[in-house]
Amino acid sequence: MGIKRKTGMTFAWVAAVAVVATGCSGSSTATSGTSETGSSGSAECTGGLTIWNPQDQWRATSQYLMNDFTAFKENYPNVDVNIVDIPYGQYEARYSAGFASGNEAPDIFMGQVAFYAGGLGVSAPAPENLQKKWTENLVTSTAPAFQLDGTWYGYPVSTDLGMQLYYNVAQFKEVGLDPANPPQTFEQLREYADKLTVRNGDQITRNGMAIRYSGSPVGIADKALPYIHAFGGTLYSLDEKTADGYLNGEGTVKGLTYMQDLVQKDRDASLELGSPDDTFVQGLSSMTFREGWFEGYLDESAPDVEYAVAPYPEGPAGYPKVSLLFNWGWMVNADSPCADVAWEWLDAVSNPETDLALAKLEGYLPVWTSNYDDPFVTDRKDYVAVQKQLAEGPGPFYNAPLSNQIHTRIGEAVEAILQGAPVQQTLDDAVVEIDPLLAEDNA
Amino acid sequence: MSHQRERVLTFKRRATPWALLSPTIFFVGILFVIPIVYNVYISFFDWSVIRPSTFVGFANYVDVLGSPRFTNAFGNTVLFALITVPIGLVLALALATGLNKLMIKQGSAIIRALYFAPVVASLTAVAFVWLWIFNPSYGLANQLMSTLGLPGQGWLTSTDQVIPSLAIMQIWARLGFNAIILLAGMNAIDHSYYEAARMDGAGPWRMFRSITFPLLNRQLVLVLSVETMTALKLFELPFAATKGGPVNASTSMVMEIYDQAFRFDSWGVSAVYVLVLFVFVMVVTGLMRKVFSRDVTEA
Repeated sequence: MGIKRKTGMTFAWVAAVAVVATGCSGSSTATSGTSETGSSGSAECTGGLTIWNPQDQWRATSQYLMNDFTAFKENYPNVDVNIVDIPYGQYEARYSAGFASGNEAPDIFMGQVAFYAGGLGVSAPAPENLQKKWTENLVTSTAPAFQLDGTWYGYPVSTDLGMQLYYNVAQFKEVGLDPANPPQTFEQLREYADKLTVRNGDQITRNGMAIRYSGSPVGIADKALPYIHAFGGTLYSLDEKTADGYLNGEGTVKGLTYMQDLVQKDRDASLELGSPDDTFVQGLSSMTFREGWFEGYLDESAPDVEYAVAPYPEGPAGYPKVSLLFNWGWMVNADSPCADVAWEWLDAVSNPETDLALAKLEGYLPVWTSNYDDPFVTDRKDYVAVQKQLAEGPGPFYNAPLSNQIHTRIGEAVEAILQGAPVQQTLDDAVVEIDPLLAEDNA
Repeated sequence: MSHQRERVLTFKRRATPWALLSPTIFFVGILFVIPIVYNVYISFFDWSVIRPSTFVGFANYVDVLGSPRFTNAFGNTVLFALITVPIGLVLALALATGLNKLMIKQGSAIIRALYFAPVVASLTAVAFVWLWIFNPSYGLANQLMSTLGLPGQGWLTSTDQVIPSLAIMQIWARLGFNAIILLAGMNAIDHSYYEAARMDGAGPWRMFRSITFPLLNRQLVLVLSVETMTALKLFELPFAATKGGPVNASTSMVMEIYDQAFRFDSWGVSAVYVLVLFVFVMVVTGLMRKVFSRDVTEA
């Protein structure tokens, strides 16, 4: 008994020492960039800038900005810029850990404005000079995705102008469709999909129209936006107060019923073949909706696929304008001791030459309107689609602070609908969970 | 002098084991005691790693335990364990028995290495390989089914089949490791028992039932406990292969812990999931050890 008691006491002492030791170590709140008065400034920012890039497909951007982008170095030769590539699958965990730690957080990071600025509040609004510069020079169609209440919080990485219709030209010809006449309406889209689908008994072996049915629920919700908007639906009210009457409203129900019919009734879209990106590259999907970056991806990954790009078809409610749930922008950590220098870096990056260089490097659309006259844009396959998107302007943008939770719930509902769940009931159930989240946002 | 020397020696004798153990105990404190205590603490808060947190009492517990997300994740996790553990154990036992009986000495090491190979692969890599195998349209699994005249299956794309499909992946990945443990236990059994049994006319099945199985009890309970804990901590396979779909049919408790914490910044809710899972794993493995452990000696 005595030995057991001693064992227990010893264990307790060691554990207590461990607790005290970790409590005393603690993380420092000041880095080399903070002066005695607590203000940050370029004079104290001797540690350099740390920038986090979580996009697996944009690694060339990191290399370019570190090695080839010289404008900033000329003015700040003593500030090292270190861009850290974060694996996309881990970025949420890394960001949480980084911002929670304080001094391990990046100075600049790529993320979504709605969540990191609106939801978590870790991102600072851009200074006045950049507010003016970006408002005057950047593409307006996607500007709301990088602003909160009209204030810029992030510098867009690319202008993913919502989605466009990618289609396989060879497969069009194979079934007697004219590649010069892609579907103009959602009804035509359905007809074309039916002609293009290849089936082996009950099994679809080639999607007429590939849709996103699995993976991250937010991604599923994002890819459903064209269908929802084409039929006049929205995810929630633009004042972000309620989803009732919007997510479960007539337009959204019709848009998602259309998607469900493609899968369940028409059997033109498979839930088994794989992701739209992969299947389009493999020739297992004839059509898909994807953003402008997909053109660069196809040119690099699938040079043998003969494809063309067209604007969205028009739905009963008209052209589904540009709308994104993923809005990747460069943001400055509000608590960074090097915040001033970080904004200087962003100011240096914000110019049409760097914008065009990066766009050419990665194959996506530039963000400066002046670059839209460049042959890089005008010679792109998606140029007609891009012109349409720019002319039509922005559609609804969904920047609720608890966007991750809300859009996850919406994506789960869309996923269930594609699997055959009753559309109205599923959306009604989703609204019951989403409205409290919107109310929490507004509290 | 000698009395003092004796006291020093006694102190050294008593202190030495603790000195040797103290680093381990220290890290157990750092990596277990502190996190679990802190976890309990934050479970009573609407906790954000960045925004100010608010004390909410038991609200997180009420929300979690009454939520469909919890029921779904818990159910998926338990179902996965119920499939993986017994089948994995039986297969490992069969494999170990086969390897133990292998008459061919040359090449037996290679055979063992081949079975052990999946263990050293990361589960993420395992998930991507099986994603290809289980593709309903061009995957190897359905091609084999077709060759056998059987209809193709949905596998990871089917809400009904996704958990069994993940179980297949898990069993395949863990089989070699479990078989090695059991094989080591079999090798430690005195062969004279088998010889005596053979002389008494016992057949292979009787020898297995009466000698091998009882004397393998410690290893079996070890494999059972470890596999149960591993199964209940399901994360990498669905995270890589299905992202919890289709329609959350493969979302596990640990995936919910991850989502609540890192995607939704709801650390208090995540902490409740952690505690529920922790208690459940402790209770289940404790019960298992109590029920299945036998005090079997070779004396």
